[in-house]
Amino acid sequence: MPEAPSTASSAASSTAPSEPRSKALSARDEVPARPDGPALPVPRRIPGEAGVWVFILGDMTMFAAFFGCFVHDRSRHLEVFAWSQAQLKIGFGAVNTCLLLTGSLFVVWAVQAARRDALDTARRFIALAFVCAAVFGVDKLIEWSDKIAHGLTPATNLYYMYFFMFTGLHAVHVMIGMVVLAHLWRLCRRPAQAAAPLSAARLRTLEVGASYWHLVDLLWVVLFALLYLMA
Amino acid sequence: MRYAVRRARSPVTYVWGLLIAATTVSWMLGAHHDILVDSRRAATVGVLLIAFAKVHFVGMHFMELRHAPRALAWTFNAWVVAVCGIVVGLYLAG
Amino acid sequence: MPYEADTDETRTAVASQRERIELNLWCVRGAGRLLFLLFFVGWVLLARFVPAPSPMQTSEEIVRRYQENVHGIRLGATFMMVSFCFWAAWGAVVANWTRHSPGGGRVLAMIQIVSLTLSEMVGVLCSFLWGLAAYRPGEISPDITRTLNDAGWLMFLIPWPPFSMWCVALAVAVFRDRREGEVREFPRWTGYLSLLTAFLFVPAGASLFFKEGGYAYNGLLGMYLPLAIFFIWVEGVTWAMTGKLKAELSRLDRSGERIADRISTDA
Repeated sequence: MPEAPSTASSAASSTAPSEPRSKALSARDEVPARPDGPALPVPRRIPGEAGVWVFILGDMTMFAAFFGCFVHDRSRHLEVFAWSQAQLKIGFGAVNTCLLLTGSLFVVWAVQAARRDALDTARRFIALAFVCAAVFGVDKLIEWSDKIAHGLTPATNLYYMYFFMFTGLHAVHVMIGMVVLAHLWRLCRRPAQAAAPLSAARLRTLEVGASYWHLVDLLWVVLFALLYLMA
Repeated sequence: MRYAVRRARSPVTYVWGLLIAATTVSWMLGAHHDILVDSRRAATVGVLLIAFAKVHFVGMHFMELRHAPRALAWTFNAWVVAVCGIVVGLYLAG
Repeated sequence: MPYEADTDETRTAVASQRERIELNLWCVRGAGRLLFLLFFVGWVLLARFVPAPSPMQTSEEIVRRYQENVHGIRLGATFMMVSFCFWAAWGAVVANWTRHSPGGGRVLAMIQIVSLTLSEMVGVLCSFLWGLAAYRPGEISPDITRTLNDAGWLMFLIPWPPFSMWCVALAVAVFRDRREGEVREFPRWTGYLSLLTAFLFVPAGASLFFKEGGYAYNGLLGMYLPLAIFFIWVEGVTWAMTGKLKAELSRLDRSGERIADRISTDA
């Protein structure tokens, strides 16, 4: 009975995976090479490329400053913040969170499909993630119009300044994410030489785009907690 | 369809399910502060901890940091811990 | 470093190549450090703009702040003014490399030069306005002094677009270069850093709309972050370029005869 190996096994395994065509296509999600076999340990590599992590960690740090600033000011203006937050409909935020999480799942599936050379499936999942992003955008617009219709604008008070600025900057991230997804969708087209798998460079671009998308998702997760759920 | 079914059994899908469940729990904590815990402060701390735990899972499983060089994964997790600490700390001190 | 040269012609040719690399190195490393150090001395130590004045302060409070540190602010403005002239030297090397790199070209280099010119002008104007505010504090109406102070801070922050365009032009040049490894002028991570910087400048524009909180002109998000990321970007790109130039120098030293440039350093 083969034992399930630890998924946290480190360092490059000297046994090359039996299936994949190239290093970039190596099985990374531990599906067994043989139906009854153990999952293969995977060599550690940077998802996408090193440079994009400069961007991702930097962007996360910028938003960390946002979060700290918000909580700091919240303590000094508690009544204003509490009242303003009570005007929000938490449902909007929760739905948006689930939309982005689902979009992230689709993106992960798309990358896995592309690695297995199931390019049509990959494109389908990318399109679904795009739809999630678009619905998020529409939902955001509805929420903002609702607030503005009730006279709550960025100039109303400190809370709404943060609310509109943070969700606005995040929405710009989402829009850029949609452009990235559209680019990835085009990238997953079957190359002209029939039956050729995606080149390693294209797979790397796919991973870079996917990592960016997950960044957009995780930033919203914290924004949802801070803006909608604090007491 | 078959592909989607096969995907549905992969670990990533379970993580997604966990994240959706966590979102629901934090919604309950945030909307009805006394539904799971007595004090508002505990509810908010719970909401914040859940949020950063979700970030950790998105990073490790969706962004595939589990398979990344340890330095990168640790830097990411250091951000999660530090920012969580700062946010929770500022909240409790205020 | 002594090297064997066959003819005088070779020796002069190699010497001028070495001189070009050293000029690039001075511009990138020397100017890159000076533009930061002089600004730091002027803005932080002399003018004592940390913490920055708040847009919510009254005119009297602003006049008092300027009067209490009138010499510091005037000197600080002078130091800042000097620091900005080094942007030209630094930016010129970046633009020149952009022009000659396969991913770059004339258009992207020109975008950088124009953006850098505007950015430098922004810096000159904001230090001018702060200096002007410190020219006659107390002798004129306090509202005028406050307006000049506001003008300095807003001039510092509102014109963020040329800065972002400068970074975006570099990022585009870096990403269009599809080569791998050492032959690249700019490593790929500088492209990502430039994109991040371009993005982090955007909140500075919010300082026109808000007078308190994180997005005011004394706010963490509207002022300190964009300021910090600018210098982080300059130092990051400087570090990458210095590494490349030093590698070129050691290649030149090892071979001793005229070798083909790996990166174009010509003026």
